[in-house]
Amino acid sequence: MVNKIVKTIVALLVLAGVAYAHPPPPDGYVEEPQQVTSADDDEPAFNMLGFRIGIGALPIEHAHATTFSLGLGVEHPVFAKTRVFGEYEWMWVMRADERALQAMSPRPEEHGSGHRTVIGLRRELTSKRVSRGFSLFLDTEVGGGVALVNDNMAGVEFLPTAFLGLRGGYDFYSRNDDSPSRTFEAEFLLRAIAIPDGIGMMFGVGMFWGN
Amino acid sequence: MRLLLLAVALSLATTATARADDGDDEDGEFVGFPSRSIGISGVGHGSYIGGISESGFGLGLELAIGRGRWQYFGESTLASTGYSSWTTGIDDMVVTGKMLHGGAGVRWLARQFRPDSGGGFELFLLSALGMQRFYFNDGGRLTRPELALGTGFQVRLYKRPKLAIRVDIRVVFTPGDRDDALVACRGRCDMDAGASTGFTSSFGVAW
Repeated sequence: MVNKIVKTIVALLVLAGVAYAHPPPPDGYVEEPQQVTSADDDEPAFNMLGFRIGIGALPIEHAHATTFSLGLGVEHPVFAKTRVFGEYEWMWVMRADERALQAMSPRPEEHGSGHRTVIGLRRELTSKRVSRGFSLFLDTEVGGGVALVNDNMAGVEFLPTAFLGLRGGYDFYSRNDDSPSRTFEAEFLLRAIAIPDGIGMMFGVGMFWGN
Repeated sequence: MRLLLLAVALSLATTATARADDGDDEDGEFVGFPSRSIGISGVGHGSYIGGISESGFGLGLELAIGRGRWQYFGESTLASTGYSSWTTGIDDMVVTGKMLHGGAGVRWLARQFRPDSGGGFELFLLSALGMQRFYFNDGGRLTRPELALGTGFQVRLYKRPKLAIRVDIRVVFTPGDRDDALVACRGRCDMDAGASTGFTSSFGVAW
């Protein structure tokens, strides 16, 4: 019984060695690369995952509210210079109450937290390849989504959202084939955000990793 | 004979393990977290107590065990706390104190960018459970649990000295002051109710 097992293993090893020593001849078929490339054909595009921290202002119920946010985002290249993206943000919301500044005793701050989910399209305006592994970019973006803000004094607010923004930053590309992520991107974001009560703004700094 | 069979079995098991570690990664294998590491960091924190914001800075210590793309850690923080805000009344004194924090959590390596074999730039997600204990100088004491969810990045050297410089930011959920989960609250911390979602951010080094 053991002899049969050993013979089988030896036979398999020999066959594997033969297969390794004599690869099949090329048949002329060349597989097309799967990655989407940009129009100038030198910058591959990737699915991206990353995060962003932001500070901004929203006119919730016509009152100025300051927002701080921490968000996660994903991106997918759909056209040569266009990516579709989705983001989720956790928001801290604070509102100034001028009367509290003159109060004789501490007043509770008007504060809250919220969620914001958006999807959008991002389009490259211009880019410059500084070296083989480094490039600069300036992109524009447009999209929409919803936000749900829970304020400790005003209560829950549902806010449909549309936005238009500008992103700038840089990309690093790895020439190391073993790297799980082939690219790293750092960016700033300036975004105008429209909600039913007016238009707010957000400034953010983000980092994204390609697959 | 048995050695041969054992070698074949080990080979098959190794192959299976390698496949399991690959996961959905199509390009390259991740360099996993170190099996054991120590980290120190500067920590900033902020939250609400009784509707008034508290914030402070301190030092954190972390002990961690790594398993591939997962890292399990225990941590503690000693930080200052200041209990006032921009809406604190003009005649009100700022109350200061100390905050002690302890917790445990898990970190997952989501992305790894390696320009070369020597090091990489990494994205991670994390979650943690812990307890906060406040010692205010006016005698107020507060103990409350926390749940933290966050993300961060680190620059890591894979060869000696195997150092990682790390930044993380967390959303910290704590119970409202009138919540039954509040263990103890004396002094000023029962002034107002309200959700108390804070943050913690740290900048540190691990090796």
